[in-house]
Amino acid sequence: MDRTEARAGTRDSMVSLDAWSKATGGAKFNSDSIEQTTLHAALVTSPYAHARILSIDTSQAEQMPGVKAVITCQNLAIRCGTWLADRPILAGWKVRYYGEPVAAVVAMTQHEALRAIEAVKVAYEPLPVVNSIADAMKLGAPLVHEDLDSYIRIKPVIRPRPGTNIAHHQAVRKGDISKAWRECDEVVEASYSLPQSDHAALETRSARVELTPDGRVNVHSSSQGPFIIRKNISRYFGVDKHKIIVTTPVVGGSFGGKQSVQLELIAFLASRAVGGQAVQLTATREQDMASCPVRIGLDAHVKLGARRDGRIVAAEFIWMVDSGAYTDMAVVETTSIAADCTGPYAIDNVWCDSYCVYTNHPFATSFRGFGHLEYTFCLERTMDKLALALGMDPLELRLANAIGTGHTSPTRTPVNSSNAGSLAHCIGRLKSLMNWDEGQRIEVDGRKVRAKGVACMWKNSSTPPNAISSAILKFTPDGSLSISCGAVDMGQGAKTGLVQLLAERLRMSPDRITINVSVNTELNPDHWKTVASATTYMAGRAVLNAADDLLAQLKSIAGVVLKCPEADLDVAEEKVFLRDHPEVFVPFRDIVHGYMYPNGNSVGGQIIGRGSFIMRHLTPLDEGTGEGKPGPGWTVGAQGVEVEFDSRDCTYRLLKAVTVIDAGRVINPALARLVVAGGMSMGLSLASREALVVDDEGRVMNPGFRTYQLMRYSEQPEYVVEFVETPNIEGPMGARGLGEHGIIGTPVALANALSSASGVDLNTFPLTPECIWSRRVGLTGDSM
Amino acid sequence: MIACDFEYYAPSSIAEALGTYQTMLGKGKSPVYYAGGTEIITMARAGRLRTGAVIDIKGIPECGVFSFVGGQLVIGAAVTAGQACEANAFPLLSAVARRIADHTCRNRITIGGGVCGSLPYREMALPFLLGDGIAVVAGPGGTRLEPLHRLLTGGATLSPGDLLVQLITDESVLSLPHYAVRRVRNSGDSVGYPLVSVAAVKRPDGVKVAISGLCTFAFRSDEIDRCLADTGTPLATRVEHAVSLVPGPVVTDLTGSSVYRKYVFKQVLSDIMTELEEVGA
Repeated sequence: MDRTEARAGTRDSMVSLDAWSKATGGAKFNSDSIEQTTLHAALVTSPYAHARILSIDTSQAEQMPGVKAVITCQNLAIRCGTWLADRPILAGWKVRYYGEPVAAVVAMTQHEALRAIEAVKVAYEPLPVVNSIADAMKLGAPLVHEDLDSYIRIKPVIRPRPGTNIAHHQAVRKGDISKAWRECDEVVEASYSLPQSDHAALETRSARVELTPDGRVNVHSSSQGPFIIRKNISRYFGVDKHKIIVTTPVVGGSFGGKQSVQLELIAFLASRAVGGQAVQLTATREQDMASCPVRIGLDAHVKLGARRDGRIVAAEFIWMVDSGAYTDMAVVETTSIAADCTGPYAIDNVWCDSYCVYTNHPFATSFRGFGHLEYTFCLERTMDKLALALGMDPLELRLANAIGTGHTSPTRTPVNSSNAGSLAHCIGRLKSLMNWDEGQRIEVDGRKVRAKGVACMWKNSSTPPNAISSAILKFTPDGSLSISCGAVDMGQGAKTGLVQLLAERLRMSPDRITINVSVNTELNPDHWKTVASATTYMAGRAVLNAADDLLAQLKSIAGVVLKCPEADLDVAEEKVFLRDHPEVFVPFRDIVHGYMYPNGNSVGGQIIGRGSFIMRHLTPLDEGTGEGKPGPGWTVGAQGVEVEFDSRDCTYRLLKAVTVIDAGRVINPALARLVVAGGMSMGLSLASREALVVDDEGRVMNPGFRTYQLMRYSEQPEYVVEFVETPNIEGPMGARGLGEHGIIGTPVALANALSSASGVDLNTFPLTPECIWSRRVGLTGDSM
Repeated sequence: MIACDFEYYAPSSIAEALGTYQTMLGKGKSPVYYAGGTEIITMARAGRLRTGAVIDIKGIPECGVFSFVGGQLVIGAAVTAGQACEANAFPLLSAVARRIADHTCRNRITIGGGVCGSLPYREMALPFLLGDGIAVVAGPGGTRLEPLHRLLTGGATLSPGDLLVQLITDESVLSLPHYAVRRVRNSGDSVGYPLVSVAAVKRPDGVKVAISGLCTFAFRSDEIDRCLADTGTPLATRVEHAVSLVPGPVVTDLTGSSVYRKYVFKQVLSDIMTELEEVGA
């Protein structure tokens, strides 16, 4: 048994299943395989951030070589969204952000489509631009949506305020805040402003739609949510769901950005305009960054009050999410921020107002961390300020307030070691891995200083209360088997983990198990969508349920073959055997496609396991108090960044980034380390240089990698990842999600390190040398 | 993908290239000379370049030259930054070229494009400015020699149809003590556009600097060189004064603001002077 368990164990660093095809270039992304007969669409996008569309003249473009159709939405009433239906498929009577798709040309080739878009003549009348959250919240501000009250509320929990730019508001009221302030010995407060940025996935977004004569809608998309695409197309175009077949091949990174349904709807209209022929629409890099959804911006005000011993007794938060022109997922993030607003700290008195605000910026959707990296930045900068005010060590302050058993979340969910792990253990390990005792700030020479910053984080997954995931297990005649599930592979390694979970439950080699790479909504069972660090949790539970179903069937038929009660049987190494006489067994291959008696008579049939999982006991947040249960539980962690800062020119070198996460149970150590280190790397790149820059007219100035720069390989610091394992009783084999968590506290850990190094209060990112320098010069100016 | 259709020509002589240019111009094709293509692709993608004819100069023997002729180093306009770095005949050119873009791009980017492309930085010109480089320019009126600094600062211009063929540098320049510093927006990054890029050589009469990134053009300034050479004045004062002698507005763009650029420029100058004044002192 030892040999099998060693090979099958969930603690194995099994090589990611997609590694070979990706390393050899064999993996096919969505736009890598296009048939000759496929038509191509190209987008006409808005050069204005806010303008009335006076007219769209498509006549000249329609005459261009190869052009089959030009589509606009001026006469189409459909509006789409996640909670609120506020976004037209193509801009209708006005444009609300720079880069907004206004029309689409369908042509024989991509080249012809691109040429024809220049011949589409759009007349605009510029409108005043809402270019910041401050602009948007002013009394009498221009409205991004004049007719907010007429929009369909897809989810009843959405609370738009017609006549303003506020799309949604979520309050959290816990304890007695005014009494609590009086108990504080120290109060600190600060304001923050974080700009929008891009997901910058390797593969740009891409969709292909075909309407077949028998009424089927075939969609191929680089999506994290093929089942959501099916739902959307059904909702907006009245097609029965079983006739919508969405296929998602390997996805080249998404980071939350590919769960929005945008290009698919345009491609649907495009295909419909050409008699159903397949139409491919692939975003250029420039469009992927400005026309497709981006990461939210956040303006915030944070106020924390503590007793002299460091216990935080009161916290007040105002969060204003820059959702851009449409709400998409930003509105859900607004609620998610409110739900987890205190970070992983036990605070009994909380007053929080979280707003989703419209501006004339590109519209925002989910991004790795789902609002948590943004609010954590503000909260954890304030924690450092509080530590300073109290004269307390920053890690000690965090430890003193670490949430644990007996506490409640901001939304009053009881916390215990199963649903929230152990932050205290994570802090303890971080302290040692960061060599914290040597000091936070160490002078290297007259110019350079080595400095460390830390942060703690937590994140629940905000799922609909009825989110589901299912799995089907199917035996081949030789006893090997395949998993069919609806989760998307985008490089995160979750599917490798599912194979390992199944191998462990069946006590067989993972080499004998395959899993579908691409997802097809007709062939594979449903999975809500591949987001929220919830795939291992949800699909893992589904696979284990399916495995139990399989085991029951195996024992049932083996009981007949071996003439014994099922209860006397056990399963391992592709055999069903007598518990007390393992030498009496029947191999899988003799029973999984039916059992044949020596005389040829056969019984049973192909063994197919099925398992499903649905979220349990989740409730939406109460409008007035925020009370509710938005997700199954938290993954907590402590993070740190160490830099070498050059005080002369404010440049810095990233030396080390550390994350300690309570993973519950690590399924695949190597992949888990990679996904967490990947999160840290993304967080460092984001915090050190990434931001969408808009000019005074709200135009995006840097949609492309020449000017929107990402961190390069040579700049990577040493990454240290360690796991604490406090089992999550609900999770598969005790595991928690960790796909997003590496990014959450990293930006603020960097800001804390640089604030400490430079002596300047850094309340925003990107933290370019110029940003730090100008803050320092500003301060010098003040003091002079 | 580039949406515009264009014709491709591969002339094998200068005369053929010039002729093709004029013919295409006459047909309203807005022709462009092409060697590496990095800028053509970028500008066309951004909708800032439309051309109906691309004239590839890589097949013209003179444009591919990299050799010493009578005490002078002759470098063809189609020689890539990568080739120049590898050959390392002009150490300052290698030092500057090695920091431009990334390895893949350097194998496409050419000396000619780096000197007379449409991006304002023209960092590749800095070593030639310092070496009193001479540009060999072929045009409708024949082949002429122009001091490079005159081409870059408006004293002379490349007319439409002019082809930069070669750059000539006196051999005596190649061994001068030199130093090059390049600063970009992000810490640790080496690939982005420069906030400031300065190359310097030390001649018997003092340190000479050539500057890119600061203004909308690359330049050398005798006034700045004279100011820096005044060793009787403390370095900090000289550097401060040098900034005031910059011959044009300091730019603010996505890479950095003008105030920050000036701040960085002063540091860079100061580092260069500290480094080079000690050499041979």
